[in-house]
Amino acid sequence: MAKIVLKDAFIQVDGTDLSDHVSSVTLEDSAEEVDLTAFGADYRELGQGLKDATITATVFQDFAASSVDSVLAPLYASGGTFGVVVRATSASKSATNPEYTLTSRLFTYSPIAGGVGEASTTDVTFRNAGTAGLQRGTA
Amino acid sequence: MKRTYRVGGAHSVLGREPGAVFTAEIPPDQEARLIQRGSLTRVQKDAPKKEKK
Repeated sequence: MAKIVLKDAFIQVDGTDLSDHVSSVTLEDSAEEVDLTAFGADYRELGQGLKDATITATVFQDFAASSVDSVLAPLYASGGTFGVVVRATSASKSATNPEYTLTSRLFTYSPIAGGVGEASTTDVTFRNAGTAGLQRGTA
Repeated sequence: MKRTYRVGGAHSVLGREPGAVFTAEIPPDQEARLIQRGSLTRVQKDAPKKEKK
């Protein structure tokens, strides 16, 4: 398997492909460290506790119909859940191009952010909102 | 329930390019959001013609 450079990452939010408006994306899946150390131990014994997952993305804002703002603003306003799908490339999911899916909620949304002369981007954090966490699919 | 949709706007939706017509079963709440923001429009299929007796 070759090393990869992210040039064609795929990100779909609630069914809409926003890849051509996204400049960075990060998936994070983590577990709490639970201390299971008992007397007599020399080293701490750590177990995995509850897990959490987050997808963060930097998105170029677009107020056109059915584009960035019209996707994200209602999702934030409603507080409901929706799916986010990410792949390293836009090719179909496969063993060499796994697809990650997260049932998410938006807790913050900045429709306008940036300084003079800068592109209007917004950093979006999709937080885990389902029991399954970050799902990895290859077929 | 499967329905027929046309992709609107400039972004692909559910893997279909803008302008594409496709048939799929979309969860009702997601369907409502996609239609509300103009990502999808429903395509009415012609009712089947009745046979003449």
